[in-house]
Amino acid sequence: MRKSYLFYLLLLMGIFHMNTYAQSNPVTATVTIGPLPTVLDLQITANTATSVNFNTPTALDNGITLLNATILTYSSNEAYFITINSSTANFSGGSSPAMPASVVQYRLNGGSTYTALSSTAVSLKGAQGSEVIRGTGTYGIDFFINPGYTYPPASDYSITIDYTISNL
Amino acid sequence: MKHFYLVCLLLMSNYLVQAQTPGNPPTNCSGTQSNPTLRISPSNATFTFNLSGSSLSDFTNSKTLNNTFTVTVSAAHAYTLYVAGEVTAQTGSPTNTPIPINAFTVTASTPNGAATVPLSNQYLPIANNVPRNTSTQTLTVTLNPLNTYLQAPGTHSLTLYLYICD
Repeated sequence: MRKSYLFYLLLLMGIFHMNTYAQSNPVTATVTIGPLPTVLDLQITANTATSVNFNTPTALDNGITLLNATILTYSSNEAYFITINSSTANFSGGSSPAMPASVVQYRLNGGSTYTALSSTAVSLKGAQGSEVIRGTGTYGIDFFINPGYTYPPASDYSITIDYTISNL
Repeated sequence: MKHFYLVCLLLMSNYLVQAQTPGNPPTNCSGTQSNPTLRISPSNATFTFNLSGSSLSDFTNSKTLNNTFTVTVSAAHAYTLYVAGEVTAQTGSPTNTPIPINAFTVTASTPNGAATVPLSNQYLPIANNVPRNTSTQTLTVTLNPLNTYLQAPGTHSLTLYLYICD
């Protein structure tokens, strides 16, 4: 009786074994992706030129707030940080005294406090040593512009703002 | 009787060796003793990435290796071709994210009704019940855009595992 069970057991295993022959040898191939180059891309995707008119006494009294005045789109596969600075210490245009960059204050949209703009690059998002994790997305920049009554009337005040993305 | 036990051991060792594949192999191989074989050539290929100017098109567009791999099949009966994949990132980084395996699709030249589906670490059929006289299949491998930028710079790798059932 035990021999019969053993016979059937072996018969079953033989059948299974026959089935495994119906599977081929596995083969492999390798697909190399890349090498992926380093991407540190920053673009102004909305409002590359912001124009502000101080055409009322209230505007000169209180300043003007511009929410999401500039939209930055970043794409980075390295940890990164973004800095902001003006290209010059003062606005071009107007006459003496020169209007300093600090008339413009900025913050990331939704932030609590504004920071005065200067020609020295300072952190806007992340910082050297505390970079932001890689990825892609957008940042809105709010401006508060408040020249007051210190500077002479003119219609050609202008300043360039630089945004830099870096991983160094 | 000793010979029977020896045969038993040999059969079981055969099962153990066959279990060393990614995921679980298909369990519906139901053919007879035919011992099908397959080969793939070449054994490697590359998705190249370049940045030209300020264009990120290599990251924002999908990439395709058209008919790059040729699978040569020798089978006594109609067969089903299965594929599984495994992604590795060769660049070590605590914040690195491997390319998701489902970012790849593999399509056979004679799918015979098999759908093009995202690659998985489990074996999936990419050609169903193909007549045995279709002895070659070319494979098209597609990579979806890597536009999340979550993968660190450097070389990443996809290993394709294939086999057939008849």
